[in-house]
Parts: sequence; C-alpha cells; structure tokens
Amino acid sequence: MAIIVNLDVMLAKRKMSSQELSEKIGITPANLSILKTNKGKAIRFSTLDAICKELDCTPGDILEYRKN
Amino acid sequence: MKVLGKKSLSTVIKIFLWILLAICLLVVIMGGIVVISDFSFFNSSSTLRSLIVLYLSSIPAAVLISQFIGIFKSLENNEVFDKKNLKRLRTSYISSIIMGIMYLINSIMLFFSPEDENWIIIYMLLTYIITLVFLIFGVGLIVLSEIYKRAIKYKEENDLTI
Repeated sequence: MAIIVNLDVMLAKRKMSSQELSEKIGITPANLSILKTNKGKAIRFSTLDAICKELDCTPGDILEYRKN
Repeated sequence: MKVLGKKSLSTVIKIFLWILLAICLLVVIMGGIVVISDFSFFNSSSTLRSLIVLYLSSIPAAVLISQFIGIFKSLENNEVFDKKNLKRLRTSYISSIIMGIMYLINSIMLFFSPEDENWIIIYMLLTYIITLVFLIFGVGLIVLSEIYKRAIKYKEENDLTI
C-alpha cells in the first residue's frame, strides 16, 4: 500500500510504548500492532484523533504517502 | 421460528441432515449391489440406466449434504464468514450441477427409448423436473457463493479498520 503508518517513529520520538498508547487511546494492543505494521485497511477518524491527541502531533506526522 | 440457540430448530435440522447423509451413503452401498444383481424387474434398459444414474447421483448428493453439515456446524460455532465455508459452497454448487447433468443425460437418453411410451413420458417429465431443480439450485449456490465471497471481503476490511 502507498500509505505508510509511521506510528513507531512517533512513539520513539515521544518515548512512549505501544502498550501505554493503546491503554491511553482505548484500543487493544493487537489492533495497535496491526496499525503499526501497516496491515490495517483503514483508520477511523476517532482513532486518528485520539492518537494525535496523545502523541501531540498531526495526522501528517503519522501517515505518509509513498509512490509505489 | 428460531434456527439457532435454545428452543430452536437446530437439533431437528442436524438430525435431518445426518439422516439424509445416511440415506445417501446407504444408496451408495446398496445401489451398487442392486445394479450388479440381475433382477428381472430391472430387465428394461431404461430402468437399469435410471437406477445407475440414481446410484451415481447419490455420491455428489452425499458430498452436498456433508458440505451443508459443515456449514451448519460453523453457523453454530459463530464462524460463519470463513473461507472454509466459501469452499464448502463451491463444492456444493459443483455437486448440484453434476447431479443436474447426470439427470439431464438420463432424460435425453429416455427420449430415444423404444419402450412403453406412456410410462416413459411421465418418467421423462419427472426427470426433467429433477434436472431443472438441481441446475437451478446449482446456479443459486453459485450466486450465493459470490455474495459470500464479497461478505468475507467486507468482513476482513471491517476487521482491519482500526
């Protein structure tokens, strides 16, 4: 897929673990792992909103478009 | 009327499917013995041919019923939108169409039978109806399996929406 999720980069920048983020935004670690490993098919605005709020960033910091 | 859960038809459906499977397997076993045996009742070539078709069609019928048992089990276990079920539906429509083709060949051959005409015409009509039923059922299952394929795709997409 041309959309890349850079969640692990943002997590490293904020020095936060996946477990911590999943607890704060209220999604399961398994679902967060799907998102981190680019296996997800779509992301809800509500999830994106929660991630951005917790990591203090914009959607552009998490999502990136790369031409195939 | 509920199909699954407490006070539902599930037990009746299960028993009915298993009885049907047992009948099919019985026909597979007994049919061979009957066809091979030289009974005077089966002297007529069209009767013998129809019996062979009946015997052979019990094999795809047994396959069809076993697939339905599998689908019903997955329904009970709440694993409905599974790729295994899609495979089961595909096997079911292939079995149904094979049965339809078998009866179609039999009905075409009956048309050229030089035997008792009155009996043959009634039997031919019945065979055509059976042929149509199985072919329509097979085509219906093709459509159903395509719907199922899309449903599985949508379910996967939904599961992977975070």
